Amino acid sequence: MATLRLSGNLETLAGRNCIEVTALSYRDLLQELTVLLPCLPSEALTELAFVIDGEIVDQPFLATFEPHSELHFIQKIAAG
Amino acid sequence: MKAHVSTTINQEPVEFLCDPAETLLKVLRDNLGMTGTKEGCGSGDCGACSVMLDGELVCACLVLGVEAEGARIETVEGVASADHLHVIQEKFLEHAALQCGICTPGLIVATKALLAENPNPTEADARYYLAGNLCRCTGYDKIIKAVMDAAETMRQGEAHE
Amino acid sequence: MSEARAFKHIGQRTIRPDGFDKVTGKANYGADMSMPGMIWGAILRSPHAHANILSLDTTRAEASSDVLAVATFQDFPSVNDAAAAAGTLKSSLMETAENILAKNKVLYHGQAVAAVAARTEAAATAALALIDVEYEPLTPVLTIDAAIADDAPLLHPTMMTQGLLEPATEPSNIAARMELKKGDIEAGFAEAEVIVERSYNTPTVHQGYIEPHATVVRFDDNGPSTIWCPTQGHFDVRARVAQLLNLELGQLKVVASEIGGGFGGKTTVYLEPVALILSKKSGRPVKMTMTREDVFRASGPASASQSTIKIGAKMDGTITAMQATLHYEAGAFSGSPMGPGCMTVFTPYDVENLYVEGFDVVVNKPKVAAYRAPGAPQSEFAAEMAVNELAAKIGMDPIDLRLKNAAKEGTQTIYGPKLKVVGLEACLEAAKNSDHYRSSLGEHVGRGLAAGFWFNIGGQSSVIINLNPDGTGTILEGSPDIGGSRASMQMMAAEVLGIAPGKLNPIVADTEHVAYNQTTGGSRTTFATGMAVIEAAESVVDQLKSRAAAMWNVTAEQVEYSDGVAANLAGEDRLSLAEICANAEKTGGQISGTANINARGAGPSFAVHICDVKVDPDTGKTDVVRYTAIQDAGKAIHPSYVEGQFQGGAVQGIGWALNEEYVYSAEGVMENAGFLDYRIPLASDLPPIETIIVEVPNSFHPFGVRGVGETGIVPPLAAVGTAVAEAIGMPVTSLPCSPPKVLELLLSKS
Repeated sequence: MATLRLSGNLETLAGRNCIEVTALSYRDLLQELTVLLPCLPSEALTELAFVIDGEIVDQPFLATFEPHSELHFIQKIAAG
Repeated sequence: MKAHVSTTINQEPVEFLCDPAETLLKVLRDNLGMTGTKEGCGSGDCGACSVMLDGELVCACLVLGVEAEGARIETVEGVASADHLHVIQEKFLEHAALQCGICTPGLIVATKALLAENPNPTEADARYYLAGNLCRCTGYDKIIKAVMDAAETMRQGEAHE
Repeated sequence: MSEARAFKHIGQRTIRPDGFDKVTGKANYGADMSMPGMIWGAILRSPHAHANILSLDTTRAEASSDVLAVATFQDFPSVNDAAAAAGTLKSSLMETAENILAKNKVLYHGQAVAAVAARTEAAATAALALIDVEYEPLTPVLTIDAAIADDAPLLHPTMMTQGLLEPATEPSNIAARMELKKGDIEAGFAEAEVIVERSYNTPTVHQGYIEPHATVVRFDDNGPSTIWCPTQGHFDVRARVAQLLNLELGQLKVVASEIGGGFGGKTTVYLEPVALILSKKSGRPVKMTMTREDVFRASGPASASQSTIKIGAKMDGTITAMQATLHYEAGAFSGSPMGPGCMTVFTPYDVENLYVEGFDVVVNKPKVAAYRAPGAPQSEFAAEMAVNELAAKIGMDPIDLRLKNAAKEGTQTIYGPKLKVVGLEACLEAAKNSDHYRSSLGEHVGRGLAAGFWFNIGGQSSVIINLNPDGTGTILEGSPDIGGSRASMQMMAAEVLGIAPGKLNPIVADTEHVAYNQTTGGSRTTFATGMAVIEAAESVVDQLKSRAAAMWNVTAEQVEYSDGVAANLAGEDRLSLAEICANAEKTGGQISGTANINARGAGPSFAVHICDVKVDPDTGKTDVVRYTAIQDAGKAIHPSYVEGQFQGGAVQGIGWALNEEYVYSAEGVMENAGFLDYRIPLASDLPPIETIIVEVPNSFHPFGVRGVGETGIVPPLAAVGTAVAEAIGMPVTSLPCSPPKVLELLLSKS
């Protein structure tokens, strides 16, 4: 199972800093979270960048990952 | 009432009409289409519009168009010859002395003025002479290296002649 | 990338392809464009920092025979339609519109209120006097302290703080709060044997690009309208203008002119939508330019900040806890780079226990824009100053302290992911071994050192490479070139194709001639667009092989291609790229490679800077006497332009640290809106800027590239600040270290 790590405001909202998920794609993950953590609104998550094993994915719609992957949602990074 | 002005720009006779309040910079860029001379501030602080007026380095934004009457003006467009770049231009390219390039025309004109006055400047001489030409991209390091190299190359060229 | 690879062109110092035009004055920037029949637009700006607009009457202007068109907020169809009325419009679009032409309130001195177009620039400016505006002045809010005070006047009476644990019940000037944590901060401080705690502030500063904003537009009913402008992202200009004016993307063509500096400040729109409204109304092409004063007062500077840092450590230098509270000024509308500021503040350190809280605060100053590593210089300045204070307190060398706690591969960042291979330790070692760091110091001279981190981004880039029948070609890319990137694109393509870089002409194409490209920013261009160039060139190589195969009547697998020559493995046949191109007509037509990518795997870049300053004890004037910038480039494609990025970033940071600041009157009017009084560094202010390029390859890029554009502005603030503190023997907590402030510190000491 992949591990979703929550930090900052997401951790506060979810009341926990990590959760195991069975999803292996970004789309499935969002679906799974509506059940596992209904307190995290999908609209808010899709505003964030997605991180798979330390690699930032700005447009994660089609992103897939591995069962041992570590996942994060982070703020999109402004560009100068 | 527009003023009629006869002048010389880059060794060619030029005539133009301008409003008496218009700056030489505005005349060059908008009336004559010579946009190589850039505007960065309009107040003589940045040097992007450096041109030569009767052999003096000036900011074209601080000179009125009508002051060009009977004068001799040199702009960046006149620095290279038809078939080759001026040594200063070559050295700016070799040393990567430009990034965005907006300050470059002014710096080329100012460097030419510096080396005409002082063919053997110290690095400090170059830094102070060019202090009126702002560059925000490079931190000046490569510009100064280009200027020093151009000075040396030009001195060697003279020695060979 | 397991082994060092031998390159033919990469790493050389070639002459940039756009250089000739730039040294001869032929290159065309924003204000260099003219169109037949063109007229001029001018903008009426607010004389107040904070006021309600009671009435805005354009009747007299419209009646004038000089005036060909007038524009106000009411001309934005998209923000005035039903969606806006129903409140379903994205607030950011509304704020963009209000920042371009005020709605019913002005929120900073210089904010655009209305615009006119006339036949000449002078006539347009004169006609502004024909617009009648009645204001009700309000108290301006000019500092973070004033903005967050309980009884502060509100800029936006309905703005509720986002990101609070409990939803806000009262409106305030705090637009958003953010919290990041790792480990147990209390336990970390409990473990500490020494604590350093201090507050710091930095002023509002400007990117200071030498080219003011400018645009020339032509509205067309029967085809795409054209916008010519200097921008870091012409596709973004197209998107924003289309949104604001309710146009389809296909109705707009945006041409990126040469750009005279941006540094993040040319990633948004100010004049372009207004000019298009004026062009539509007048039926004429319209040119608009900002004066330097306009640029200072009404484009987007970088946030002023207040930061409090607390660090706990053991006497052996092990840092056990780091905590930050960060406030960023957003200017008139929400959206400071507080988020990246929070994310970067402690990233150079591998520390168990971290806690960061950030606030985005609105004030009556221009809405901030991105500025080179947006948010990072402010927060990392505070953190690095505190780390240097810790080093002094425990008597440890600042490099050794950093090496002991340095972020490395596997370090868990506070914002989530673990770092991949990074070059911070390599930069610190290079600093330690540098001639500069080993040199001794003279009287009144202080030395400071600081590290810096920036993420770097990837994203979407599209490239087309077309080869001509004689073996020359063009590279069509869509990343506006702000610092010489066309040279690196040319070199990367040449490396893959095995031909001289000069055979390829790189062109920044307009929005109609190349597919979508993200804005030039986030240090992404050489990484992401470079990756697209390499992919397009590899596609060309595949075609060259199959064309050669067709000529030899063998399969493509039987052809090897290297150094610009195809070889028939089954025989002695050889064909150069030019020979294959000469026969392209016979073997299938044009040879052309394309790549449309969304690049992932941008490698972060760390830097370490060393600064020596000399302070005049009588005047407080500070001179930088020696400076070295060390940074990880992954792989330097064109070393001169990589060094140029290090040097340029360092000097912008030196300016930020020593002289630059917006000085405001009590009424909220910027008092130094010109280059004479807002003093960016001059050639005579500076020593040579020494550079050391560290190369720890980024495994996600075919050649190992990391972006280098932004990190270089992060370390200088604390490197200079620490050097000044050491020179005068007093803590420095407030930038800039301008002569009056340093003199005050010196006097307070004696």
